[in-house]
Amino acid sequence: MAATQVLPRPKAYDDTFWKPISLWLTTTDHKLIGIMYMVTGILSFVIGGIFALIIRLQLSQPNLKVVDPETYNQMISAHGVTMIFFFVTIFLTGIANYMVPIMIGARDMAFPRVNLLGFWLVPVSIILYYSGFFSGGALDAGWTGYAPLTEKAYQAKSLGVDFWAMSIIVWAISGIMASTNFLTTIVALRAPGMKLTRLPLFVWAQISTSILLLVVGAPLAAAMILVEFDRQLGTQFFTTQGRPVLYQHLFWFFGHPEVYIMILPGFGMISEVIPVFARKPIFGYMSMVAALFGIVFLSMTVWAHHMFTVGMNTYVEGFFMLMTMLIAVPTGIKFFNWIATAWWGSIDFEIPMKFAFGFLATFLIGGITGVYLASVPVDTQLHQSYYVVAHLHYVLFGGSVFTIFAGIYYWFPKITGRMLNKTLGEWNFWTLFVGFNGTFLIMHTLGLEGMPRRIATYSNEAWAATNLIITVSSFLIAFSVAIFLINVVRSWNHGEVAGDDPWRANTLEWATASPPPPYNFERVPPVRSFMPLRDLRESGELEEELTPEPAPA
Amino acid sequence: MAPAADAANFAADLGAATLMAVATMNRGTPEFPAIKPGMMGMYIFLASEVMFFGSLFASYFYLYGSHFQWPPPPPSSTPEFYVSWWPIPFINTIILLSSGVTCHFASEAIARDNRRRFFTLQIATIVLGLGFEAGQLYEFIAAFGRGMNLTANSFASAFFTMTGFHGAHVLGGLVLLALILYRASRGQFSSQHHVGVAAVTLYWHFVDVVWIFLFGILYLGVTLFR
Repeated sequence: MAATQVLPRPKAYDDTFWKPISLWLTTTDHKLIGIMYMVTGILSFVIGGIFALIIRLQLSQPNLKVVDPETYNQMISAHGVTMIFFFVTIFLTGIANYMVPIMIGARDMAFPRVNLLGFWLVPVSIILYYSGFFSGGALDAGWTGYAPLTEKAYQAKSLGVDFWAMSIIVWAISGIMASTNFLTTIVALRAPGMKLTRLPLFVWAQISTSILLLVVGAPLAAAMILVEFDRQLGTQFFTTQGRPVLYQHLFWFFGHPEVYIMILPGFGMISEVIPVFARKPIFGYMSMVAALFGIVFLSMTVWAHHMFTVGMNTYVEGFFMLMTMLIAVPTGIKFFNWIATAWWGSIDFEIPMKFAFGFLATFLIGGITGVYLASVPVDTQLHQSYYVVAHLHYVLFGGSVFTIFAGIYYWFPKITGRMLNKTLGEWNFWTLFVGFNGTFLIMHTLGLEGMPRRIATYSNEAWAATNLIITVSSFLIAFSVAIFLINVVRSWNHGEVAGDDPWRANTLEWATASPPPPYNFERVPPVRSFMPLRDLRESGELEEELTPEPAPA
Repeated sequence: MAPAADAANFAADLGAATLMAVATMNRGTPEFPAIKPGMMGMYIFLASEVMFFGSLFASYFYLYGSHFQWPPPPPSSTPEFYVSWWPIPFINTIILLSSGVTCHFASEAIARDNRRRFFTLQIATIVLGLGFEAGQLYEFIAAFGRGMNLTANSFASAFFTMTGFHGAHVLGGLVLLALILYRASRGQFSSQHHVGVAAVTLYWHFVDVVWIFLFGILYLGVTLFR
């Protein structure tokens, strides 16, 4: 830990978290907006988790009736929508909003007011979705909302589907705004010396994510608009007179890249965390960037692998199967590079590194089951079974959520100026890792035995024991998240003071105060490679760069 | 390693330079950093607009390809049930393309500080745009009169959705043009500072291009290649 003088906490953050409501409502500072994104994401995580626990209670034993089947359908839809749209994507947008401008040495985002609007559309979107529960029943067709289940002919009595469609349209607009902002910021506002080949890998990940969201956000909005037109204006797009499968094409053209929108920033965070705690430069920087863009391209050519059972042309299925399997190549490159980075490194098992390694273990399983599911004959058997549920949770929970925790433990000192408690962090990691694998590893066997997903209950006694283990493990996850929340709330104002650079990290955000002042840098340090801070530390210039100018009397 | 890294650096900088060149095509001497964020933002935003209209076109072609007869047989036996490219849509095409020309030269004019010409051309653009909207409205009302409405069949749904969204974009463009005119009247633009004008001009050109595709596919394509 460099013995630098801790800069006084800047004015905007003088008050406690709760006090300056007017500041939170009107700020265009990317850091405060980033925090609001992240808090919104975590609140959605808790809400989506409560839905998940209700689902697991319902399934813990055969023929239970914790909730009735209609409510159950609303629960699984709300769980999916909340976690995918309102938790993972929003949280990752938040952490990027906070970190990207600092990492490239910028003062703020390119369009601060667009940033403000883009953020405030998110609560609008969330409120719109949950309004469905107060209008006779929320969306009950799953998070994918397949037509014609969402059409007037099948779902006319409640406004839940309309609220869902509206909510997703608003969400997509917000996402497009954020992506435009990120891309402009990263291309136009880099500090002198910050060439594209010197960008931190998290920023590269954010470029690829933004490109994806920019390209697929509009088709999602188009799909939802057409659903809404079908319902309220009587058009014939996805009705039985139109073509219901068209909806699936439009939706999955968004839906599959969305998986990468949720994991690529995570990849970026892992690419930041592993080199710092292995005390080695990242292995294969350019191949990491190339792999990101390989994933961006391939992810837009694989959407119909979600639709192998709708009866497409066999050659079309073969194409999508091949492209899907090809994605394993760039992902494998990244995986290899992470392991090669840690290999023979002087590994420091701090909590972020534990989450990064937990991510490597769980995401590997998710990736391999993904290759199985890409195969048309296998998928035809496993489609709509719990195998798919297990796979997607290994990718989204074992992938995205583990990276999110790694990112939080890594950047919390920068955001608040305080360390998260290490003991609670250990408890958080181990209970999460055990609970997660206990929940989803044996779910694969349920799927292989034929238990269908999205069905409110089952009568097969042979599945009872496995389901009970899953339910108990899911409560262990809830326990872990509770520990995490306690840790965050306690450490926000009472944690150990972190200092500017507690991890001896490589990138620019650690060259400013913790938390950073509203203007980010008094002067941006020189950038001579993709690890500017490490260069300064090794050449002995760090002290000089970090010494603050004397405060005016 | 070093030559490879240099090559990569060179390639990346070449890419960045291309982006900058694209984003600063209008004249002026750009200082460092060369990219005007407003212009860059408009290019990126239009990429998502391309995807939006692209999805609508893709949906249209999906419906076209999966129907035995396209457009589907009209519910009534009216011979002229569907829209024809002649005369109003064709005139509208001329109107919208001319508005693109006036808009372009308005932007050129402000870049040379020729404010008088800028106002003339910009007002002409707005008038042409309003004329286009009026023509569209007339067409829609006439079609509704024939019984061709959103609910008639898949073709009619797609037709009104696509031309309707385009019309809404033209309307949005008119609002932006009016805003630009107002800001210009307050003296906010000059040869040194006209990113707003350039960005709105770009948007207007985009709306023009979308219309060319709509006209070719929804009007000419349906009438001539039925």
